[in-house]
Amino acid sequence: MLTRSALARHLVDESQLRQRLERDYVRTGIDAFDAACQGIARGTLTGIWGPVSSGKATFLHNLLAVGTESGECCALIDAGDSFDPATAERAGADLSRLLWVRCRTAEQALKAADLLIHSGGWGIVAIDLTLLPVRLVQRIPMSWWYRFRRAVEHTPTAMVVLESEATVKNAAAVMMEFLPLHPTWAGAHHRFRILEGAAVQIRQRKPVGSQPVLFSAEATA
Amino acid sequence: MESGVDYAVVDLRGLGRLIGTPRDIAMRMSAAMQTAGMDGSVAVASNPHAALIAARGNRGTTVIAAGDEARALAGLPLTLLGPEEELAATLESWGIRTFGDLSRLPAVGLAERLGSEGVRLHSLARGMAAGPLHKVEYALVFEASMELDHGVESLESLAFLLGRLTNQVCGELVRNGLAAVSLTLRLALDDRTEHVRTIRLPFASVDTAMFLKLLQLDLAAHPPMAEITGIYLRADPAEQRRLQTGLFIPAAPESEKLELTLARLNALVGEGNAGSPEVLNTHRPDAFTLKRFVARTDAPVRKRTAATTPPLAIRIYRPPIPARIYLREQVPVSVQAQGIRGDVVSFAGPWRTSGDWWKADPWMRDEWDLALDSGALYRVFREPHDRWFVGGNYD
Repeated sequence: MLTRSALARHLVDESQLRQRLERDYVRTGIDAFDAACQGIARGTLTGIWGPVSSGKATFLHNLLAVGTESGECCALIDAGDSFDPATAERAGADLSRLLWVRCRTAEQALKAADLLIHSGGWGIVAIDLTLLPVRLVQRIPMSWWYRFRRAVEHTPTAMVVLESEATVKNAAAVMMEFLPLHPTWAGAHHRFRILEGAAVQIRQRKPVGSQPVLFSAEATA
Repeated sequence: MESGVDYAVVDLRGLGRLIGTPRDIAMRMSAAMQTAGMDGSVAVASNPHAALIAARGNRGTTVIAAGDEARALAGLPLTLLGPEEELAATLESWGIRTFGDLSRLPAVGLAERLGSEGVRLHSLARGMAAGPLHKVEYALVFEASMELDHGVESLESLAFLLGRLTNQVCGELVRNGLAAVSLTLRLALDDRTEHVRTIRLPFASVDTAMFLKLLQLDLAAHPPMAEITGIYLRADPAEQRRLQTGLFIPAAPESEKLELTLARLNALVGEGNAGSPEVLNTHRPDAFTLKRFVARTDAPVRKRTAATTPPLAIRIYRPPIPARIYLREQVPVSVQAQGIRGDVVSFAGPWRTSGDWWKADPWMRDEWDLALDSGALYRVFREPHDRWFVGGNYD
């Protein structure tokens, strides 16, 4: 027999349930991910975190490719100025529909995000804070993230924040952890080989997902 | 109506009911000219060319009845037709000096001897029309200016004045059914120089508030270096934009709002740091350019290449991070750079890549992919003179 507290864990607030049912998703083009998580939710903030080489940028490029392919305008606020247009183009992104904002500081990135989100009309707004020092990102007031989340609510904009550590977790509706890449090498001798690709592993931490999502990425650079 | 420096031709059809006979109309026009202080002649005929010649050849008011053109013009000198010099000399040598002399000549013989120009002059001499009227289009200029009695230093004060001029220019555009595709602002400065700024849009607009805001943002980023003594604003006109929306067209940022947002972004991150990237057609690493971002909703959508496996992305470090790479038997074994330290557990490389050797800035590097014991996967490269850099990391 279930206790009241145990039962309560399985119940959700009516408004939350309505939100889940009504939420629209942007498919990422990664079959394993879309099958497990339906894609990236529109009208809310999704947090993606993981160490240096964990597949976040690969995931982002695929997301931008799907977004621009469908004719939507997408924006990338690049706090570390590390975006590689060539790789994104190989992933299928229509760069003419992508606004790339090259920032140097967290303050620039947040202000740029604020301008873009409030101007409206974007399919995807991604903020990449990965290369910023963690201590700087941790200093960003949580109120900013709540402000962004409220701004995209009831809009078709999917907002994605990429970072090295999970700092937006309280404000994000969805949090996904990217685990370190497992590179694969091709070639018989260790002196004569190439980087063939890498396996990417994602765990949905909020709301809690059941199984990790695994997919492979191919090295083409 | 067709007009020139010294004449105007007006279509009088339909005025009969309002004013009366052709003579009544001619008298009314003559009186209006006198009232306006203009000295000239008025002629009415069945076609504009006969009327124009009659007005030029006769003083006062002339009315030519339909069918009577040849007789009414017969006594006028041929110089009124403005023939070419050679043709005029030929006609003079033949003793042809008046309209009547020319009109009595056979048209066929005239065509054989003088060609199509002779035929045209023959028609005019007989009072016949020589073609339709051509509407003269004057170039429309949309500009406004203001000389200031006292120099203006602050941009806030300037904004008020700019608003007036922008309203004036946009109002004129609207009245002509046009819009502005660019605005050029010239500020005359106290030091006798000029400060010129141009706002260009990817679409034509008459949104005064948007133009004013764009000008303000631009002047804030590029302020004049002296007091402002004069303001000149000019708009380049274009057809007004027509938008066709649809149910299945993806939503896009509003054009006017987007322009303001892009202007604010440029002010925030610096000019040239926000736009659409375009990969350049070269093997040089990290070669791209940033173009102006335009929200396209009607462009055809590119189909993605059917890659079943997504490509592994690389993050580029700009600028590359100088590194110290320790080698053993010419193979990297450890990496030290700012924020990066570790032992190499797997590697691939080197690959030599180079290019643009014919240019002033050739490039050459040996690239390696290194997996460190920290789990990070880096792209490092070595340039000539054994300079190592970490170029980016796979992510």
